[in-house]
This record gives sequence, C-alpha cells and structure tokens, in this order.
Amino acid sequence: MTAHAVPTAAPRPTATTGWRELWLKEDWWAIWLGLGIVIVGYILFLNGASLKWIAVTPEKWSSLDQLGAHFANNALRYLAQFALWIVVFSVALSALGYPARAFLPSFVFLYVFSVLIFTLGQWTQANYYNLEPPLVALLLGLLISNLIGLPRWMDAGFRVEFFVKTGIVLLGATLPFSLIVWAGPVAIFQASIVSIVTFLVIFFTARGLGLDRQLSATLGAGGAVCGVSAAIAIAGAVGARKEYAPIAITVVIFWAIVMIFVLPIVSRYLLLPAGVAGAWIGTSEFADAAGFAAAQTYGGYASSASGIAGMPDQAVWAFTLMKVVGRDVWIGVWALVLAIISTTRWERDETGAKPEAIEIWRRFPKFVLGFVVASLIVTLASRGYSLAEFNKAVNPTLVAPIKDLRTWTFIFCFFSIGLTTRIRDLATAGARPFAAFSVGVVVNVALGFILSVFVFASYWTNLTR
Amino acid sequence: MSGQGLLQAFSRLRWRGEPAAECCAACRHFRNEPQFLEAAIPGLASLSSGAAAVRADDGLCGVRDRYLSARAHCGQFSALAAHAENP
Repeated sequence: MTAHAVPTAAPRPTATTGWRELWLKEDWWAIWLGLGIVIVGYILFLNGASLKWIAVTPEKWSSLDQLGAHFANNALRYLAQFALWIVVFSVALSALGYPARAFLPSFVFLYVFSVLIFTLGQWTQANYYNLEPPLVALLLGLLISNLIGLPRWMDAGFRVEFFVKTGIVLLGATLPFSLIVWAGPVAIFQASIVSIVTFLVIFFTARGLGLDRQLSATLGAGGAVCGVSAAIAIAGAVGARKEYAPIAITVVIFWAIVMIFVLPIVSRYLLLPAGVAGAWIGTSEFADAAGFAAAQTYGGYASSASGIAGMPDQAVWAFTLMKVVGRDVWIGVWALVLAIISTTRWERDETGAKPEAIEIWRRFPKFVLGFVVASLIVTLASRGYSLAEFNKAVNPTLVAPIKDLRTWTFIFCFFSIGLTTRIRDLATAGARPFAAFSVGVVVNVALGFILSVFVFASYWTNLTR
Repeated sequence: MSGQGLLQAFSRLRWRGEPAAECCAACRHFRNEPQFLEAAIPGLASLSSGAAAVRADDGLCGVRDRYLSARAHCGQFSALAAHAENP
C-alpha cells in the first residue's frame, strides 16, 4: 500500500510548536501524566499514605483458586485503576485532537487483555514456558490484528508512543539521578559511535545501490537514531518525497520486531549480565517501544533464569540510558545538520526552507525532560535515607507503586504495537532500501555488542542504586 | 558546493527567523493534522505518532508530493483564505 493522496480543500494546517505544544504534543502530555502521578505519590508518601492501593497488579499464582481469590478481593482496586487510566488518557487524547468517543471502547478492550497478559506472566510456570508478558503481548496483538482484524476506529485506544512515553517518565522515578549523571556520558559516547557509524553505513550503502539522497538519509536516521520517529523527523527536515517515510517505516518496523526476539534470546544464550544486555539492546534496537519490550523481557529472564548476573531493573535502566539519553535526544541535531546539507548541497532552493538552530529544540523529544525531573524528585525525596531505610520505607510506599503503574503502561504499549502493526497495510519497501538498511543492522548489532560486552561492560554491569 | 561552502552555511545559521508569509503552514495544499498523517503514512502510529514532538509541524504537500516542514515555501503557494473565498 502506498501513502494516501492529499485531498484538496484540506482543513487549515495545525500549528503545534512554541507554547502551544504544551497541550498539543503528546510528549508534554506524557510529562503531565507521569509527573502528576509521581507528585501525587510523593505527597501521599509525605503524609504516610501511598499509591499502592490503586497501583494493583496481579500476584504470583499457581492455582485458579488463588487467582480467583485475588481478583475477588481486589476487584474494586482494578476498577478504580481502570477509571484512573481512562480519565487521564481521555483528557490527554481529547486535547491532542483524537476522538475520546472511539478511545473509550478500545481502551476497555486493551485493559481487559492487558490484565490477562499480566496475569499470565505471574503464573509460577510462566518462565518455564517462556511466557514473558512483553513477548506475549506483542505476539497476541500481531495475531489479532493480522489474522482476525479489528475495526480501524479501535486504533484510537492503541496509542503505542503515548503509553511508552508516559512509562518512560514514570521510569525516571525509579532511576536514581546519580546513575543518570554517572552513566549518561558513557551512554552518549557509546551511542554516538554506533549512531554515526550506522547512519554512514546505511546512507552510503543506499547511495551505492542507486537510491536518492533523501531516501538514503531517511533510512539512515531510522536505523541510527530513534526508528520510526527519526525517519519521519528526517523526512521532514530534508523535504523527502511522500513515499520515502513509509518505506523507511516498513523496514524499521520489520527489524525492530525481529530484534525484540533476537536480542534477548541471544543475550540469554550468552548469559550476558542484565545491564550489559540492556546496553546492547539500547544500542541496537530501532525504536523505544520495541526496545523496552526487549529490555523488559531480558529483565524477566534475569529474575528467573539461573546464571544471568544482575538485577532485572538493570536491563531496563541500561537500555533507557543508552536509547533515550544516548540516542533519542540527538534527533534535533541530526535533523538540523541534514536540513543544512539538504538545502545547501542536495536540492538548493527546492523547498525554500532556511534551516534554523531552534530546530534542535522543536524536534527535541520533550518527554525526556519529564524522565529527568521524575528522577530528580524521587532522588531528592530519598535523600537522607540509608539504603536499608530506603528499602524499608521509601521503596515499598513511593517507588514500587510507581514502578507497578509503569509496568501497566508498558503492557498497554507492547500489546498496542502488535494491534497497530498490520503487515498488509505497510508500504512495500523494495529490495534496495531493505538491503541498505539490513547492512546497517548487521554493523549496528555487531558494533553495539562489542562496545556493550567488551569496551564499556564495567559500566553496564555495575549499574546499581 | 565544497566542504568549505558547507562550513559557511553552518556559520551563517540563525537561531530562528520569521517564516515566510507564503509558507506551507498557510497553504491549502499542505496537511499536517496528526490523525490525517497517521492515516496517510502507513506504520507511523505503530512505533511512533502523529502527535510526537520530533515531527514538529511537518506535513504532506498535495501538489509536490513531498513531506515538508511547515516553514517551507515554493512558487505553487495557494492561500487558505483565497481558496475559501474562491473554491
């Protein structure tokens, strides 16, 4: 399928940058929701209360009786949590211009299946059967959307990117700020090496295969920076033909989904420490949502499979530092540099747009600010507590409930990836774009492995609170 | 353009400027609403979003078949208001 034609008599284009982005971009809504939860959690903590009641999750179970008793005893808590999610997401999506009327029924579907997926993951035999919730959510979603099919209007509730951004802000609250300061520069250095090499490999391979510069750049950024988001950002920055972004998106989605399975399985086979595997996934996955699925899966392996060193959290922490801090935040710089090259060397005066340095801020993934602020809030709240006191007082009442709510947003996200990935709807990529991108994948995965496992392993192995 | 020319382009870079009055953001051929883009660009909503900050205000031009910045402009500009008055 190719991109749809742009109809004439179009409505007025929307302006969402400047101050208006505070309520018209989902990055900011992820910040408002995520930080809102963290701040409410902190206020409750100061008053001797907790978000624990509403942050209910299925418990470990081994019999259906046990499971039935859990849901019978906690039905009100699940209802309250469902109401919380539906209210906050409806408000946000309405402000963003998406129809709340379509969101409500599709979110009911999403939540019910998320409860089932989460519950299955808590079965005591789940690890034995490899029923890691991220993989189950993704596969089930892919099966439903590609074999059964859901009405298109239901996509209104399957907001992959909004869920993962909200989850990343919440994740900030569970990651000590000192770790961001300590490992952030290493993540930036490692990610920069891999990003630049991957971009150049894809770009010049594509050029060698006869693809034009805008398509080569769009493919290169998709592989090097932040997947689909990078592809669409660079397509706009260089004024790409309308079919180029869908081509890049198709190959990014293909490889991102392949890597959700390949990277954790290979890491498990090699018994990589949790932090090292997380760093490798952060370097070599192509999209945040897909990467979190892979990193959380490996965290699950680390908590259950003998022989994997490190804590489950380390996989997610290392992934986040590498992908979000090391790669995502640089998309504006990539866009600016490629816009300058495009307008001065490739197609002078073609689009009439003069690159401006503020482009770096315009395209900055703002949800990262929420992630950092959430980390600062909880780090400051924990100041003065010894590790033992933290584990006894702060963790169970403040950090753990936020982590549980984060787990919910990630399950919504993983299931939504599958539900929105309709293979027959994707653009036909063609052999040459696929080949160019795949060469970049090979280099990216190999280089990411060497840097994570050998060069910077000591950093990723020692990510601790 | 040589590498030196590229360096000059970087050195002349401004922080921000006013967009041209006849830019894509004011043109009837240009569409950039998040929902429209998610429908028009297959896979955009699978691992990203039409409402993501990284997208800024970019959109699709129906005349030139390109995905462009809202601040781009060209000779085929057609004002939204003029179109409304003379459809």
